[in-house]
Amino acid sequence: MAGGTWLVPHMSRAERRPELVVDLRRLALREVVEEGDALVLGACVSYEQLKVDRMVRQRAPVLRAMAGGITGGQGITAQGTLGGSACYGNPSSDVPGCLLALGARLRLASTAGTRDVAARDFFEAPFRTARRADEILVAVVVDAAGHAHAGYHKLKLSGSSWPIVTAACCISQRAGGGLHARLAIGAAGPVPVMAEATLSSTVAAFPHTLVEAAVARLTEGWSDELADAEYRLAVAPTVAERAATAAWEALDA
Amino acid sequence: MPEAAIRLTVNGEERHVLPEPGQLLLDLVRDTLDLKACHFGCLTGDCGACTLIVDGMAAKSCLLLAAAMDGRSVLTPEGDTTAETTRLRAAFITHGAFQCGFCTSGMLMAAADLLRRVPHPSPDEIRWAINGNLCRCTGYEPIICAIQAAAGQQEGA
Repeated sequence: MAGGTWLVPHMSRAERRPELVVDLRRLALREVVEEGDALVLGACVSYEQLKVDRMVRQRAPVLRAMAGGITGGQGITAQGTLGGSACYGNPSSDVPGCLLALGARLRLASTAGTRDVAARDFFEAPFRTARRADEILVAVVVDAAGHAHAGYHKLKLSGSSWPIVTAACCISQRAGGGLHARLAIGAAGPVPVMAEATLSSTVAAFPHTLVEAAVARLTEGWSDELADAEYRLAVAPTVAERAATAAWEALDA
Repeated sequence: MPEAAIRLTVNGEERHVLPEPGQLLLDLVRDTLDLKACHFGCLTGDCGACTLIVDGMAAKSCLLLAAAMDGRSVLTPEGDTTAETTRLRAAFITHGAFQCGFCTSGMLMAAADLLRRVPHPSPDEIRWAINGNLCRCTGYEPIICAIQAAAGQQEGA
């Protein structure tokens, strides 16, 4: 258990009856550090930390933008964690898509050792991830590229609703010139999808093809009590376009 | 002290308790410690009626397991005599910032937490700070006015 904002209510409703709950609070997984060229976010970093951390602002601003839209007050944002949301794997949530857009790796540890799984391979199915039962997520690793320009957009039905569709776009400057962009769409399908593009110019025109490529990967919609698959798939292109536009505006600024 | 007992500070007083498996901090405070100002609302972390101050920060006590509270410090509305909460209580009365009163103790805890972090919040900051506290009577405006008035009485206003 990380923050417990998902697990504890499930236990209260007796939807989950774990025999043993291991609280990770004292494992010092709340640090944001630089490891070589990479940014390493401890699995228990809270939304509140993502909003104020200087390194997150510089190197993974999409996480700051995402965390700024999480409702529920301090009681949720200071307790809910980046890693907890990733491991829960709820399609209708904010974190998974952002991790794909960042090209992040999820660092899993067990008594057998540590392994990194790319975000695009981590989310296997609704509420199911590549994490094995004997592993814990210890960190989210964002590689060097410097994703300094980001856009995040989500559609929700009311202020405190879970997201209906999310879109995260990250643009990084390539070492040899040009740009690399990733656009991920979350909540629209059972798992988040992502498309990427390498652009030769640093002042590239807005790539409609990137939006089209991301949308094309949405082969299946996700339905829950908030919205059905048909609605989600219908609004996804607009949400994706807005996130990409925001990222391109950040680039121009 | 039994093996599974925990030690926590509640309203400045050290308490030794033996939580039930799966017991919430909310139930520990209300039932074991008989402090009833913290309200039992949604049990999903949505309504904020059970908000307490844990280790100096607003927290929803329905989202915390009692067993995880070892070594931690809890402030409930009964024991919160901080200057912020005292001013907020008076301002809530002056501005009629409650109807049924069910959300009030949670609102006070969330508002006090805000005033400790941001002594002079803007109306937007106030709205954001209580966005995890639902008033089912929808009496939000007087609540916001009361928090603003309490902030106005703080030093430097």
